[in-house]
Amino acid sequence: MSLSPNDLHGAWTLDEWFVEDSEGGRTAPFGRDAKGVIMYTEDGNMTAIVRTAERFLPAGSATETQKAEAYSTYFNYAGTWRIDGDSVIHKIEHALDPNLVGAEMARLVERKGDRMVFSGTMADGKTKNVIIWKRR
Amino acid sequence: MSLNREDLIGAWTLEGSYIENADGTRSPTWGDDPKGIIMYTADGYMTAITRRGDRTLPAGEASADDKATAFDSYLNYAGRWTLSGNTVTHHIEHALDPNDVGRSRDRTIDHQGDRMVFSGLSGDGKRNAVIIWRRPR
Repeated sequence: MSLSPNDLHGAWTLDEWFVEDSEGGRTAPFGRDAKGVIMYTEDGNMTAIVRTAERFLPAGSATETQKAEAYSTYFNYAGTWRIDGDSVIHKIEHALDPNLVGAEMARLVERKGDRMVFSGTMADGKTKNVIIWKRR
Repeated sequence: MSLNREDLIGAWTLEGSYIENADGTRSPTWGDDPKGIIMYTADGYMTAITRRGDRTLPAGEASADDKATAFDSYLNYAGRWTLSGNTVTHHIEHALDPNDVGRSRDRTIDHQGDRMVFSGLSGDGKRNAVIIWRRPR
């Protein structure tokens, strides 16, 4: 059963994000209590936010180091999306990390009731990236 | 004029963003090439990104100063949205600046077909911030 656009439309809350090595060992880059949201609009746009749960920045007087920490604990991009078989492909037009602008990210989508599981291979070609979203 | 939820739902591209000063001049929020997007889903969630058009970051080995510059040239938040009359309220649940989490933002909307103009208080709470969005072509 292949993926349909209706399966994705709307907003989803982050349930879990982990990285799995070739021996099955798991690490959670933003902690086990990471938070986030992904949205798909019917007119073909999308955005994703993933962040650590406890972030802090002094209002008005943050240092460069504190801003760098706020940058490093937050992941965000937006762009257009399309379905290719059982994968969703994000074409990035805006990203907190400007190096991602113009890139395409493919995620294999497995639907499980009110959840969907994204998986993909990390840049090293060996490590598996798993992101689990649930309906708000 | 009251707006309908359908007037907002979907994606809009940033066309302009500036603050109106007391003497009538305009201060651009993100330089002369601002970029951004705002999205409203039918199930009640929204997100906004506004940013400078000329951002860069060394790939792989960015310094703290580089990251701070990337932080300062980008705004992003997301949360639930509600509409009352011609004012949309964004109830922020995720934000690049963690101080914005839990806050809400009211934007009065002048809806002009394929464009909408937001007016609201600027960050200093004293001036009018104007953001112009248009439907992607």
